[in-house]
Amino acid sequence: MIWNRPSIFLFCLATSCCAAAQTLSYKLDLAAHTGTHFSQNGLCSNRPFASDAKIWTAMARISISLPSGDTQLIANFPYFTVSGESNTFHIIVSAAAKDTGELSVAGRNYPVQFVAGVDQVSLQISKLTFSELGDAIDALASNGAKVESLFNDAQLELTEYKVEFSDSTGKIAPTPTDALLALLNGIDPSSPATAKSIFTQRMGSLLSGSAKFVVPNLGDHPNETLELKAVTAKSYRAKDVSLDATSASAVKQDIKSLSGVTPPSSSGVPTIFLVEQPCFNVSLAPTLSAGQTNMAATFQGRYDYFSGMGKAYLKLRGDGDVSNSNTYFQRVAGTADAAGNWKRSGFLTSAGGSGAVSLSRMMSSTLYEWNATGKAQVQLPTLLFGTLPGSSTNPVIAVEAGGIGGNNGTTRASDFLGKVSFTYSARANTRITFDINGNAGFSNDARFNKKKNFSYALAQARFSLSKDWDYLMKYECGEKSPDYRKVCGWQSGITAVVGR
Amino acid sequence: MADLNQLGDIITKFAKSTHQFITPNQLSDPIQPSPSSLASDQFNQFFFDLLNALTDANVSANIPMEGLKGCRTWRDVVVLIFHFEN
Repeated sequence: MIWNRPSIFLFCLATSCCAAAQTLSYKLDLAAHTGTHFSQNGLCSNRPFASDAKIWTAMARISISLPSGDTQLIANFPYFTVSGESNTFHIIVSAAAKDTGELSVAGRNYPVQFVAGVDQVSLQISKLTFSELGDAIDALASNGAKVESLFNDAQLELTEYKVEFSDSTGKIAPTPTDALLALLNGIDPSSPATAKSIFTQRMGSLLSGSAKFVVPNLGDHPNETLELKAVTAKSYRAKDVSLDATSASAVKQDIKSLSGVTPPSSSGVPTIFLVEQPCFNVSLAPTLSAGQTNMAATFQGRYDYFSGMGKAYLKLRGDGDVSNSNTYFQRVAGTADAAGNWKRSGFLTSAGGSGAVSLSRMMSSTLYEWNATGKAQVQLPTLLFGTLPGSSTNPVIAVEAGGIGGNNGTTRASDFLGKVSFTYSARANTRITFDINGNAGFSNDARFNKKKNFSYALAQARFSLSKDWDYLMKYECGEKSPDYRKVCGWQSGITAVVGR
Repeated sequence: MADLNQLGDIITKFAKSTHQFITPNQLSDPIQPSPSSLASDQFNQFFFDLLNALTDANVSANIPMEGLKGCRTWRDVVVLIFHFEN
């Protein structure tokens, strides 16, 4: 290619006069709140711990990328120096005209707040459980346009100021960071509205003249007084900012790693774990089993008592199945587990005792069975698939051994019981959840409907319709206490799921 | 409840007490090793240690994980907390 001289001149002029500009983006983040929120009551426990502690926040904050030559003064925030300028720094101040919005995820609505800090506004969805945090992050991460439209609806405005600074005493050579920190010095951000107001007043005084501020103790020249003045350099709107996709994937990985994390024992933060079943669920839906269609109702519920740091627990569980036909289960059961918890390398191990009672009414007679076992349980350290947390999304395996007795229609004897069980839920996305669980047991006597062993397995898919309602498609097959009649069949219908 | 000076004091104390990092001389020193280079277990420990230190100091704040990972100096940590106090 042959270039003539005017072309070269114009090219050089263009490259020299129009240096690459900084670019703004929204970075997704998750935040945890300081404080003692772990000690509050959970929905279905006396202490919530991580899975239903409402300490989490999904966040989108404004970030900046700078061309080479420009320098960011403080990580994470749009404070920078521009190549070729001296005794100046630039600050991009963000503000929103509205302070609320709404995010809809899988039929659930989350209130969005545009939180105006000292000089920056961020989108925050706060007071979330860990499961809700996963949903909110997923919704924001998978749809950059949604984040952008929320900021656009809030009428985001960004203003870049060029701030000049000097040492009024002439004793030192202040750095741009000194000047930036002096501008923020003395503001207490714990009252955001007051802090924002003070900062706005300060910028007003810099734009109309100059003002003096003292460098705080984290500057390079603490306690020195600097004189600052400012001009408006540039304005931006929401349309100039887009979602940083790399931050979206990074924050999803953070959620995945947090689900298996073991906080240091010195920190006073309880072990984080996901509870192995929702707080409460009930369904009333048709079943198809043994070639017959009938109505069946099933329910499960729990309440958990944890010690202060979650290292010991008493877990109470109840479940039942009723139908207008004997081709389906007809029973209720309750269990109580008392155990200690240990978390090592992300594996949450529990060991203790378990007791259970189940009842069934067959042919005008009441059948019942009890068992008392030693129980060991391990919850695996990570979400097996995906990055959406929820109850049982870290698989749980339990082994029990002990005694079993009662009048279950086959025997009134007391025998040995060995049992293993498995629970796992995979959340394909914020709408669809797959649950599988099963158990198998054996005894020294043929007490399980004249057999020495029994097994039960369930696989179901749930489609979230709204906050507490799912559409259910379930297949189950096997025997349940106390009568161990074998039932195999489908159930399909609406189910209420509270405390996922 | 805490301005930059007070947060600086809290983080100075925290930075010197955590055995995970090289003790800094001042807040403008780099965090060594840098949070972004830590394995996820180590970083999570840093995150929860910081949450606990702030709780002990009665600082009410939302601490962003990725924001913390992006901090290069202890001063960056102070300014991060400063922006998310509430």
